[in-house]
Amino acid sequence: MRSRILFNLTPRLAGIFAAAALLAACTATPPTDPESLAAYEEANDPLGPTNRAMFDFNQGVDRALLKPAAEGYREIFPDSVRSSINNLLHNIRSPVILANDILQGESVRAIETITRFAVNTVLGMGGLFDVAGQYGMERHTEDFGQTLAVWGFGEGFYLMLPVFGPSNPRDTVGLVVDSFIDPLGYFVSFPVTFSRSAVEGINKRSRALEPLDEIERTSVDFYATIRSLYRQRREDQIRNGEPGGNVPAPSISFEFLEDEDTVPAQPAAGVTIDENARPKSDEVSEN
Amino acid sequence: MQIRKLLIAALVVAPLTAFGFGSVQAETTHDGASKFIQGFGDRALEAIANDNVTKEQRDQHFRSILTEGFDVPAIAAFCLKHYWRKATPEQRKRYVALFRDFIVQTYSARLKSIYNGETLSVRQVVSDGKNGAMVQTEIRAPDSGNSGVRVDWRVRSPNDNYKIVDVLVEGISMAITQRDEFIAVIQSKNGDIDAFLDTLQKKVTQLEGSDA
Repeated sequence: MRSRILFNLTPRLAGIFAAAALLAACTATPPTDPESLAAYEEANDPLGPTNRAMFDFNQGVDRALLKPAAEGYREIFPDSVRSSINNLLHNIRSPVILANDILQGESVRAIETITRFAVNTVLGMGGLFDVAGQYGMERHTEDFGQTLAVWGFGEGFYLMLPVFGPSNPRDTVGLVVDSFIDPLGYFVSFPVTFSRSAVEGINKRSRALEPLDEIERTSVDFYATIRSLYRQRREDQIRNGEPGGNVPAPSISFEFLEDEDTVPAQPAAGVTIDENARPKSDEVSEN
Repeated sequence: MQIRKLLIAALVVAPLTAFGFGSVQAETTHDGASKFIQGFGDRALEAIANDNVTKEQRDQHFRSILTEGFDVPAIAAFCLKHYWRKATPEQRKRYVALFRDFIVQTYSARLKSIYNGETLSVRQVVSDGKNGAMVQTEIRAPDSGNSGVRVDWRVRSPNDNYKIVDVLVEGISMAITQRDEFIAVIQSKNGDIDAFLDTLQKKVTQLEGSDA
């Protein structure tokens, strides 16, 4: 009997959709002037106010529970032990990663995943040691959210999940599907899979203590910064680290003021590099 | 490790993207860009490694590195998006000065907090538009085995004078991240640029007064 039947998913899903409909009612009103409207749509965060409230809630949970747990975890266990636990958690994820490699048609990466799993399980004591990584075969991560993206599904809109944090409808579906793909749930009881998730959460949090503190300390709008970082990170994961096209860049010639914000593959007709167009150094104080 | 990479990414800022042209001129640009970034990266990391300085001295050093290597006005204007055009000359002047201060306070401390003997090595250079290149580098700590951090530097050189216009760490653009944040703040103030500048000023003052 699968432990997941305990969940009784259908009423939960109905509840989730009802909540989503309610959330949709709590959206921000879009601005009216065309450029601000364009920026609003580019932010793609129609649930903004609700998301921010959820973000604040998550911050509260983090401060009260997760961060102290992560700090304690770091104090109690030496780096080598935490590193081994990290390796083990990654190794246990291999079936899910492999399934998504295959679903995306990434045969080379699928073979890497299989090889890493075999080598690390046999030679790395069940995955405690990243033997394969030491020989140059680095780990990669995959999830069903990335698979859906590869299949052509866009993010939809920004969605802040309780506890799980930044996400979107596509990636949320991905989380649910991955939990069904993961074979671990079919062999052990729910408390064990829950514990595994808890340890994953603490592990991840402990590796991000200083970075997140620093980002929060120096952010004017921490929520917006996290939103931007999350999205760019997802895009990088979906592309498997390959360079993406058309990333807008600051332009010395201020081309972007006239044209689109994209870097042209070839210089657009009529666009010239005019050094006189940029603010001269003495116009703005450089102290 | 991923989060650490994300942090290093969030700290290092220099965009360098390019798509090759294949001409001799492009080769010269690539070579020059590569040398520029390698030298610049080495100097920056060396400055961070120095423990025997006060916060003020470190900030000052970082400020000079920033001005030397980065096209700060272009990056600042980029981060305001369409609001740059709406800003008055006084607002722009105030903003660029504040922006420079903000970057110094934010990234100087962040770099210091994560530095651990890392070194920078150039992996390859590709072209990025006219007079532009993307220098793909890896920043690696001495004891981390194979896992270095991917850092791409977008460089423009309109007259053989290299300037960094963006840094992408693990694919995450620092300029875009900063722009997204600033736009969100301005929108929360209904497009009031002066209110945004006041908020930015408060943040800079707060960071300057802190110990980090």
